[in-house]
Amino acid sequence: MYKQYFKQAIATIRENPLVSFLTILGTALAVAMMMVLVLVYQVKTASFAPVSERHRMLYVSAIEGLNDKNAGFRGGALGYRIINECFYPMTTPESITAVGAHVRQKQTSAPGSKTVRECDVRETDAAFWKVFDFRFLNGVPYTPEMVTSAIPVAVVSERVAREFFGTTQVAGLSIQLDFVDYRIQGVVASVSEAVSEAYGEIWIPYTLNRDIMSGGMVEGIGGQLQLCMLAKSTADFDAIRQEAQNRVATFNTGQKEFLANIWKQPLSSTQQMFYYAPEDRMHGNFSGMLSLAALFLFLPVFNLLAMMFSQMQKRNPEFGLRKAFGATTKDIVGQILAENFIITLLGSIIGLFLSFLFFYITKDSLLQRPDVNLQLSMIFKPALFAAALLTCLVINLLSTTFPAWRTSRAEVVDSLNTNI
Amino acid sequence: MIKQLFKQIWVERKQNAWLLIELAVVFFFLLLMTDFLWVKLKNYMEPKGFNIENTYMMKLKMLEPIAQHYVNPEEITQTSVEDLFTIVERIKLHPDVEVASVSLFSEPYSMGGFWIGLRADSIQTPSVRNRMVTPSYFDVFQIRTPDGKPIQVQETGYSQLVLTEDIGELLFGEADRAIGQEVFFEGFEGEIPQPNKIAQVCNLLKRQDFYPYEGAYFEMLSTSKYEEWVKNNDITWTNICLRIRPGSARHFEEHFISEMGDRLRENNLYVASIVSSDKLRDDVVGKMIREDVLPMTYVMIFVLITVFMGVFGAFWLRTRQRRAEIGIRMAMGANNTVVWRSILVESLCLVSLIIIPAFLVYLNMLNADILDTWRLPFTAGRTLIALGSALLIMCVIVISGTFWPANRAASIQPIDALRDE
Repeated sequence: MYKQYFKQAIATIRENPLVSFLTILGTALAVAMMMVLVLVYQVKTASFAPVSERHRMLYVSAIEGLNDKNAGFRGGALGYRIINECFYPMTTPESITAVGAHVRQKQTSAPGSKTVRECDVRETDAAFWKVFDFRFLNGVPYTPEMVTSAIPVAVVSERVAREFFGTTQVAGLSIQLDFVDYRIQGVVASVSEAVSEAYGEIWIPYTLNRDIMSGGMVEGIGGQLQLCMLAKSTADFDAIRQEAQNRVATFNTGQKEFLANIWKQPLSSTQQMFYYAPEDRMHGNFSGMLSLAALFLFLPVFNLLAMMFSQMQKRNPEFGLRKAFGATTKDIVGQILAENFIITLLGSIIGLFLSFLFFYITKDSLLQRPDVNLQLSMIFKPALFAAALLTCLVINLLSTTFPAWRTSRAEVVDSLNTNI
Repeated sequence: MIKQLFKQIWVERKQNAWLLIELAVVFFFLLLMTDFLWVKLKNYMEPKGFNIENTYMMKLKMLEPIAQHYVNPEEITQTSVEDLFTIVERIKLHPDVEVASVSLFSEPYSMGGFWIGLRADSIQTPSVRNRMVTPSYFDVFQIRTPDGKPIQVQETGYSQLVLTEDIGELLFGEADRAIGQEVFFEGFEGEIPQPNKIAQVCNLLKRQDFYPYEGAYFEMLSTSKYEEWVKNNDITWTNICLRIRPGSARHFEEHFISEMGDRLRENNLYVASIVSSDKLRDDVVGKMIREDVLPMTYVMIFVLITVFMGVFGAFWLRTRQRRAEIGIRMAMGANNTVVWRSILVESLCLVSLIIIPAFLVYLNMLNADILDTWRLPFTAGRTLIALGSALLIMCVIVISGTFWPANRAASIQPIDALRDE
């Protein structure tokens, strides 16, 4: 029977090449645009060095500290005191690091180099090098002891090393940031700004920043740091969240005026993309993406519907004949759906290829970063193909069911009597 | 003929219903998109009120105690404001520098600063952006009076303001009348308001290309006022802006900091970076184009292609199904041109039916501020431009979608068409 449908579908395509071409192209475009959305999402949440373990990571990037008059600190980054007393002692995560929430620009120069420019400096602790897997080209990361005693040491990116020294073998040399001499401990492969939680050109211990070390605002709750945790496995996420909440509650019992609140954090990277913790609502990104997806899906479906109605009308006598010989409404709707599915599937395959092409051309604007290093593993994921197939099915069902149902319900006599 | 066509559309209303709904939805999307792009284009084309060519901005920082050259505060004899003006004087001596100014939260494309209402007699403005600048600021960014003359303000002890044209008009009816008048800041209760004298009125200003004009007042930074300000604020929030001589840009940006060396540092205050205004513009405007305008354009291209195919397909099938009818008409004496034209006009009649409902929805959205009425107010001109361009696109799509099928239908032999019947 399905072989018959297949034959019929081919015949339909042949009989009216133009309309079939338009149907296929319409489906292809819809699938392509949907897949571009999926691709953007995939790349934005992909795991790659230095976030090879992104799927195991959890983040706390905002906090609230309010007193009983509801005044205080809202939605900014975390203070050093709460991190030190409340989060550093956490035991469930494999490791936990506090990093500056934003990069800081520092005027950079090196002895013997004429270059002077501002570099993006990220302030971190020593555990940072455990949570993120930077590739060291030379030297080693700074140690916890160096961080605790606030020794001016730095790790620089390959690009900075080449720019200021002309080589990557620079461990042990010194580099000047805002007129303070730092000893270079190591050189790492440069990272993309797309890894916003770890990006920097130079990394230094945050203990050198007096602002951070002064504890923070509202009794040490608000400040300039954010937390990244590496769970042993994704199964631990709930336990980690529970521990974090418990520790915050304990911390709050010792507070004089301001109470800390981390909402539903820590969040995974996927949750961070779609959920805005401080206001407990969907992120603007997500609602924007949803409305785009709706547009991409419904406009082509609308088009296909108009064409399907006309086509069904044309095939009316055929269905009348089949019904006269005993076919039920269900049989006919099923047949039309199956035939049409073959055409939509063809469109979806073309659409998938189109989406790769389109994504590649426009990736800078779509990913909002010019320097994302795309890898094939970020793109070719089973989820992508599943999403494509799903879109294809949805388009097929939406655009065919109603016209097919309406046609197949017509009286046999009327159908047979239709003028083509 | 047109009446006849409408009658025909009415008779075939059942078959036409779906097509009409589709055309209405499509036209509505077209309206939204032409409106979006027009608002962006209009804002982008408007004069910004300043000129950033050959200008640069410098950021300041203070040395940390562990830094080289750090001077113990007890050993410093002059104030940080004096440090700053020492640095500015040295910068002015650089051969490439034409003019330099000191300002707070006032550079084009910058955010920050504060907003406050102004009052003159009984008229009170909404909150207006405060910009604190030294008089040479107007030369750096070539901000002029409304009739294009350079702005000249003397530094005096008196509190002097320069208003933008729109605020001057708001307060005094006419921008010219504002000069020499006194205005007050909207103050806290119980505070005795200090009068400020309006020294000049300058042209309309934007914060960035894609924003509407933004009312502002410039407060002249005298040394004494600055000293007062620094007591409660951080001097490193100050920026130094400068305009360099034309033609020296390339050399300048690369070498300025290393050439100036220690001269960019006075006690613990130093120039941390120099950025061209073009770069600052790209961070704001370029980003907006990349992340907002371009994706919207992609969506628009997608919608246009989809719509074109849909309308084309629908008209194609429609015309083909009417071969019999066309055959009769040709047998009754209609020639190719008449048939062809009547099909085309019928399509346009269909379009004309959906213009009004879609346009009404669009007007309602504008009225309810669902669309962007902040960047461009809801005016007849705006709606007409959106309507006109959407209609043009729609007609192009419909005519090209009908053209070929109509042509083919008109070229068949009456006998073939009649046999179908």
